[in-house]
Amino acid sequence: MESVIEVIDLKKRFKGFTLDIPELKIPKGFATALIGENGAGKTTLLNCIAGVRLNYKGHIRYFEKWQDEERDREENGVREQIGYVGSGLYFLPQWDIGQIEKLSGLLFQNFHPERYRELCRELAIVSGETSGKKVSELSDGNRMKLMLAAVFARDTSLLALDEPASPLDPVMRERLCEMIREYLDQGNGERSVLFSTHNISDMENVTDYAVIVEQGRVAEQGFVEDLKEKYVLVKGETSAVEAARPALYSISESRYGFEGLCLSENLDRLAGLSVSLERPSLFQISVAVMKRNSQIKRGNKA
Amino acid sequence: MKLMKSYGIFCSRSARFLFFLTAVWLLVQQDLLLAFWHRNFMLPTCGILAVIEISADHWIFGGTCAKGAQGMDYLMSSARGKRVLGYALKGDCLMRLLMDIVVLGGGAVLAAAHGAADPAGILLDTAGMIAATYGVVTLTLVISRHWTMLGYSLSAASAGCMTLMGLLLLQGYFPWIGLLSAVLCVPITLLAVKRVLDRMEAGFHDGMEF
Repeated sequence: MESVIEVIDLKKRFKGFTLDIPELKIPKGFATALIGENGAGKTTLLNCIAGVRLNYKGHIRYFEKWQDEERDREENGVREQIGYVGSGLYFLPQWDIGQIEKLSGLLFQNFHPERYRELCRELAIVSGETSGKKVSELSDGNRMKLMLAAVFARDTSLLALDEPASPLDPVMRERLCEMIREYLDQGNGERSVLFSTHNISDMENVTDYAVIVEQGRVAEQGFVEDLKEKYVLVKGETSAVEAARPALYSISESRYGFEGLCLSENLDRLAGLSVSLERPSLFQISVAVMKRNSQIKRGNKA
Repeated sequence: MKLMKSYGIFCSRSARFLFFLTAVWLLVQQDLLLAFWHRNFMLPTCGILAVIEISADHWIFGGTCAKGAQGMDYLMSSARGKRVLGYALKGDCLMRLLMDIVVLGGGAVLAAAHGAADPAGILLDTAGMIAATYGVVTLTLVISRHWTMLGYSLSAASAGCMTLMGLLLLQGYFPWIGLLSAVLCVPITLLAVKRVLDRMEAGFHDGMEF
């Protein structure tokens, strides 16, 4: 598997939290979702990859060619190839849409102003004359659309998007999935997307590869289809719960029965029990993995 | 060219309108006072100029030194971000200095040309005023750029204006203050540029060092 990003022994420390990734490869030509609870380390990992946070230990290799120390050399063009969308601290609030167009032209050689203007119109960031509207006057959703317009207006090889779906409405989330899919299709295997998300269900149809991060560590990763083979969704009545519990990876109980995830390799341990088996969704796998590794205390026995 | 191009992008149309149009208005006002030219007539012009320059900066570089250096991530994601910001900051210093020279110096040159007594003294006096105005405004911006709220910027503008008034009044008694202001303008300019760039650099280094 060719990788667009290779993370080797990455460590970044905050007070009470350490991101610790011994090894991680983001596959080239696919859309990879970074999934995890709040504070799991998704944004930190994305920021390190995008090169907007630097004081980490370890190495990041870009496009199977450049090391992180070579990333900042303009002649290598590594930053030109990465379209990064970050948090609310992305644009100065006093900038307007027209200023961002001109500034982007100065910051990135591969920026296309006409494509940016077209995206601003297409995504309905503001109606009518748009260039004078300030970032501070935009809603969270429109601010995210503006960030997306700025990165999609560039010729890049990797998009690193931090929570792009969170502030968007359902229609725009669907449009975002289409934009990501079009971006990958037009790249003929040379373009990749890495995004973090809490909206797993909405983004599932565009996710090829998933990395589930918990407490600063990678808890699970793999192609979505492989993960759906690795786990099986088990449903049963309350009478079967105690017998099934030891075989289950995670479990949710209600007064009507239980639902849990079981590793395919452990399925034989459920033999003879009155349970139904289904193929899990990425959302169900992610929640199960997160619950197993979460620090949040729950009423349910897991 | 690079300085002005970068500065032109950071300075929005509304900021340009506020910045330049009011400056022209000030120039006209000053010219009207020329017939009665006396150094004290220049004091309100210097004060208003300082308030305009400090307030206008809120819409250009306001908040760039604020905690967490808000709004820097886009610049930080580009290999050219720091350089472009540096050019814009230097362009801003140049632009403000030019405006001070045009608004304050223009009137003084006209006064000297129209046979005012001691033209050399007027020009020297005005040079000191320009240096003091530029220096006090630039130093105030080093502080006001730490705030994101307009109210704080306006307070900084008032404080800067009052400081400038005091300095100019003192300059009337101690002319060497003008020369000192001119000398201090260089390190103050360097400080103003460096402070914002340092905040941007600090943005790359959140969390704890290893």
